[in-house]
Amino acid sequence: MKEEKIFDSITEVNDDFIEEARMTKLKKQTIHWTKWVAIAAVFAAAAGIGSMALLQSWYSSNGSLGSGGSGHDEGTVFMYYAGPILPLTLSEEIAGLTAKRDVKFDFSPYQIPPGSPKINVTDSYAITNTTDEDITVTGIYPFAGNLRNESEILPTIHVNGEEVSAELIIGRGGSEFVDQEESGSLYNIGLESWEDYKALLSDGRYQSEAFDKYPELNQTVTVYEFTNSIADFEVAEAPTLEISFSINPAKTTCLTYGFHGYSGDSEKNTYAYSYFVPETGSPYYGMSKYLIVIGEDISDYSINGYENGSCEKNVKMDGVSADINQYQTTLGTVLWDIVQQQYNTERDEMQYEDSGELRSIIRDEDYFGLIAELIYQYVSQSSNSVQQNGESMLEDYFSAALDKGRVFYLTFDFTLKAGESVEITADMIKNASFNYVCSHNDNIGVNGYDLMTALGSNLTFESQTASIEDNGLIEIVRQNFGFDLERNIRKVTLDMEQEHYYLEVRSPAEEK
Amino acid sequence: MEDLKIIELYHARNEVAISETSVKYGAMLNSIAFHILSNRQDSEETVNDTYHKAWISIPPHCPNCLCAYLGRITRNLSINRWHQSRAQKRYNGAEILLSELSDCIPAAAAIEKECEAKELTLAINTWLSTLSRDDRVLFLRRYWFGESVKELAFECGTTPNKLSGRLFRLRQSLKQALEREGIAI
Repeated sequence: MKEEKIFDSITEVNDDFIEEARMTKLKKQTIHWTKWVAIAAVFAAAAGIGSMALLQSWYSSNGSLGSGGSGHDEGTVFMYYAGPILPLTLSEEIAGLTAKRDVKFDFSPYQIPPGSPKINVTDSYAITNTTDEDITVTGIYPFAGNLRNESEILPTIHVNGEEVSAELIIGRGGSEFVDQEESGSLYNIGLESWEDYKALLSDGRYQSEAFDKYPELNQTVTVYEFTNSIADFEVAEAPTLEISFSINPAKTTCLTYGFHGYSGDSEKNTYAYSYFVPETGSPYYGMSKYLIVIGEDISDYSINGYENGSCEKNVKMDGVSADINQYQTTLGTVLWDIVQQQYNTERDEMQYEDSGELRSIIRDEDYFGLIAELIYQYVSQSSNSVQQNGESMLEDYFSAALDKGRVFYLTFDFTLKAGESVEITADMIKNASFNYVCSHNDNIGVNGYDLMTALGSNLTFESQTASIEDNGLIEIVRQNFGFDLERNIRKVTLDMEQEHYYLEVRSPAEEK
Repeated sequence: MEDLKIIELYHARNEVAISETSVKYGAMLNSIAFHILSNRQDSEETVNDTYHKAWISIPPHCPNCLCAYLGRITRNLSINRWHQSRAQKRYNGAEILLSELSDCIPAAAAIEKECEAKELTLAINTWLSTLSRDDRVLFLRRYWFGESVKELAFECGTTPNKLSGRLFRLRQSLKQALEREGIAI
């Protein structure tokens, strides 16, 4: 059984990882919002103070954003939600333009597990310029996902049958718009239903902010860069170097990169970070490790060596050392160096560019900017919570930047001649929404696809239709489109007062 | 008692080694066994078998990490016992873990040959080293220690649904890493 091979191989993973897992408490998924501290004032957003003011007003508000919904329709709330198909919009609302839309669901590629339930979707628009002047507009096509999704979900845009080159703009944040209680989590993805997308996109601020510049992180920081770590691997198999120090969490925030262990005593204000000394030939041998101090510098730090990551007194070890280079620079500068180091190592070790993930095709500046956005958002909120919750590992921010649910935007220019129409199509691979195997409920084997008729769009729609090419591969379990495969009703007109349409299918071969 | 001292007791053939092992790791080993076997009595028997195996294997073995050494014995004994009893449809403990791990099986396309177990372990180790500490800990707490999604979600202060999503993304990440390595199972 293949699963057992993986199970057996997991049994044999490194002792260090097992010990680390045994000794480490999982981080809480929420942080507590506190008022802005003075340190936030020195983060000069390149977008100007306006962005900070907007963020401040949002965080101080107790209301949720968006127009609010009346509750969920009869569609399933899946455990994994792929996000709805979103309608095309323009960079600005233009009078005199009308639009017709057709969304085609093509189930040709559909496979039951262990295959993939992805399908082809063509989202087509006929936009008519009813004025007597030519108009050049910027189209914005939004789609849901995260940076770990495969790049095949990136839609291809055609204008009058010709493929156009579209710029990819990446939506920021996300979860903080939809769930005030859990919005403080670095890991919270947050976009788990169509109502979450409605709250995210209704007022246009999320889309608008996606086009803003990223924060520049101009705050001066003190960096402790650890290189040339040494330990005797004949004495211990997991030699560990630890730096310990005292700080006032109200005045100092620490970020780390390359460190594996953390301990903190908030009563004594003593903290320690540690890392496994890399052995020659290991994937991360030769990489620098960083302790970044924001605010008041650390005092009275000491370096100690241990035989393992527990860093307990009884396993202290001599001969563990590193060169430590201390210097001052801006947070943005050292973060850029670290991101480049991590990026290059991943590329070398994991054939990164062949990963097929969306992250492999975005610009370095965007990846860096998304991380900077998170750090600006979470670190500048409150140094207390970062220290106390141990959310100081930059690797966590790197992961969160990739995992975070977002709306992406493809932008492209096109011209509408007076009195004429233009056809725009977005062709894409669409992931399904589904329940996990272990949930053991009746929706096992059911895959969901859905769309929004008008969310976030400034187009004036005359009509919208939907069609399905099932190819005999699926049966419809639940829907509000009105398809009837048995009666050969495969094209329907949508009610544009209905904001959300859903389609849930299963292969006839699946066990029910 | 420190691991080194416990191991010294094994080497000295002092049976206090067993009781000290039980004090320090008994709960952990019982938890691992129970999450696979879903049966208290059989879990206890498996843990007792673990102590026996440790007694007869140390020496000559001198484990660097006693936790990992004992945990592996328990995992292997548990999965073997699960197989024996599965025919009798007695357990479903490991079923859930294994069905989740099926998400990690790399796609068959463009794979040249089936890999050795060591090669697969190396690939998994490499992948684990790329994760943040919290993700790595979560993955192993679920798939090595066998802790339930509910228990882990409680510790994380989140809902089981949300944590399931995070675990799913980790499994997909492992699958992609194995595919990039050209691993076939």
